[in-house]
Amino acid sequence: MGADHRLFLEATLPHLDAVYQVARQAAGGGQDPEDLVQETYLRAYAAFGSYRGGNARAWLAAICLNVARSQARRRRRRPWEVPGSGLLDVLPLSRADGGEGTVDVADLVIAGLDAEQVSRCLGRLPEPQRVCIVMVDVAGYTAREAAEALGCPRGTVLARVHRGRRRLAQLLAETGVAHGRP
Amino acid sequence: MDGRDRACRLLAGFLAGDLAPAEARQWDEHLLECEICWWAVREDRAGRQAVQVLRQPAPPGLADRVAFAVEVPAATSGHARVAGCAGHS
Repeated sequence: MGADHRLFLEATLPHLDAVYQVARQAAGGGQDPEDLVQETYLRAYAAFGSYRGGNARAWLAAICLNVARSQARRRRRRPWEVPGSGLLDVLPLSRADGGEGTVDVADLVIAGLDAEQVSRCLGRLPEPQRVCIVMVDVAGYTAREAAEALGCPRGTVLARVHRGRRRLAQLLAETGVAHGRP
Repeated sequence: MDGRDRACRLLAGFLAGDLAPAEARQWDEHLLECEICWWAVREDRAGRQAVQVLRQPAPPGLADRVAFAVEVPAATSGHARVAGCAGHS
């Protein structure tokens, strides 16, 4: 293995788990997250000559998201799309003023929601919020790293994460009600 | 930026620990009396907590697979191959 391979792998492999988290959520229908990770690393290696030694985690995430988008475009599907979540479209929103029909979202979450349910609700969020939540809350990127990967201000990432978390909690609460939980 | 957007950004900054101590104290006090903002904080926490179930460690063999994928094209051509993107390097 040449020196540049070693350098590349030393700089990027420690971030494999974070990239995998992003890939799992970014992979659209028909995309395999592991294939997406491999493709991300292949493209990153191809561009490694022009890499100037910034934040490797953020750099890899940006590549992963771009690959997911372009592959989805080729498949004429949008990434992050979660099929079969039409039920959520007809459910009422919980109200911030605690009015009738609301549930305590924190308790609902603590009561235990399965990953599929959470994933489906996450899929209902606008893409910018979804991407920020996945990067920060699931993959463990800092808001600054996510901002670097997405090319937007850190404050925008924080605001998207906050809005997305709230909307997600509302969707989950509605799902809990729909499934007969308190 | 409208008032609602500004409030959202301020609250997001507060939750991220970005605010100056005096501003953060003001938020602490505000949250004691404002149900709407307190609810927003609870939803934020609930959403953050919920997505933790989505975390799944990378499969054990993935690092080897990626390393191998990078090594093979480099060893054969000296350039990284970009799968599915013929004509580009």
